[in-house]
Amino acid sequence: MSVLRWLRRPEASRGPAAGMPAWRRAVRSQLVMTLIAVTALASVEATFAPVVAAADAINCTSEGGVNRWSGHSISGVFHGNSGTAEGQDLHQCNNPAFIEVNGTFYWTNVEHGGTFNDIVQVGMAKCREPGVYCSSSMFYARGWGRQHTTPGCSGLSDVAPTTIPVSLAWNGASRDYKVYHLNNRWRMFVGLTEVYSVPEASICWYPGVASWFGESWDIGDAIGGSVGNHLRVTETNTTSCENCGFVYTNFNASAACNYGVVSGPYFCDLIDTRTLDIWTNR
Amino acid sequence: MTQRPRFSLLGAAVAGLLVGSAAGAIAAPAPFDPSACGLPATTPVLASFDATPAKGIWNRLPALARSPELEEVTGTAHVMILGDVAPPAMVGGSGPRPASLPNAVCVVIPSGPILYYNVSRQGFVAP
Repeated sequence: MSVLRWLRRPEASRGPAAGMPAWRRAVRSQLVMTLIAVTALASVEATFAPVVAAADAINCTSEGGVNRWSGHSISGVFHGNSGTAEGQDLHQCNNPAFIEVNGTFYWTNVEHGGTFNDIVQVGMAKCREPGVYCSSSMFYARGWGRQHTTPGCSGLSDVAPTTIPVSLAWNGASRDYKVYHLNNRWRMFVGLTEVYSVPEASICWYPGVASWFGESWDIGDAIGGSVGNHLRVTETNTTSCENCGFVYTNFNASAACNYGVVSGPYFCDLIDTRTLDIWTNR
Repeated sequence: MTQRPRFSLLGAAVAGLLVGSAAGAIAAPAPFDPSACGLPATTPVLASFDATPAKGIWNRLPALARSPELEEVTGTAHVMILGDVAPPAMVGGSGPRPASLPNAVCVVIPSGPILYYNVSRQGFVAP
């Protein structure tokens, strides 16, 4: 007989003294008190429960801002790069510490290639960082940088590519993210809105790589979408000269993505000549 | 891999306020707040000054290498001279990430902050 059935027996509902031996009343009383205590504890735990892990994110770790990427890139000469990303609410890691550096991003980029700093990028972001320039709500962002040791950059200062929000308000829709060397400036666009630009003289490095990637700063963050809802990037197209037309990419869909981590838990798949999926297998 | 630093209770409380503010709307940084460049607000600022127009930065920091993005700015640059700093959680390409950013300078111009490093302080003219 289960404890619950025993408690529900007729004599249990008639009161503690209804023909029950003293030892049994004592045992039943202990069980009732235990049940009440467990129920109360469960209630308190529910009230102060930690954030439940989202499907594609786990708890934050103590890494403190370790970059990981997953995506695809092509080599050539690029004065513009564009890709349309879904407006997904990307997943950060859960249960952050008081001081937390983590985040999840999607970027469309032109890079020198093989260096960290030499990049112009625009995309969407969500992050935690002990600074005012981060938010756990989705926002649009941009970044750029250079290093004087890269060919063409001698005599220029070093700029670290930090994440800077742009003033355009997040609307959750699919947006085209474009970097474009146009009329003597490197410009970053979200949709048709130019959100930032730098003089072309600031980008001293050779623009040899066009890339589309997701990024995270903690292994608990997701990169891209989830196993059941990939982040899809479509209409990838580039241009090889300033102020001239863009052409669609020609990805080989049977090839593997080549940028950053493209195996568990982070994945990327080339869907067709101008489409890729980025996701975290959680 | 960098480890999350340990903080005192007071530090944690201050940091909690910062994180709390970060979770909401993205506020504009204070003029001389290193967090504008993604660094902890507690990062020591060795010296700070305003330059209007921004290219006036070379009057006080003549050894700063050429920076075309400052030469064109007619507005004010808020300049913070920092020491060696741990890299903030920078975005960037997948090349090697610098282990530290020596001799960093955070410059906030109207279009946003720029974090410079390897900036020589030779000939620096204190405000």
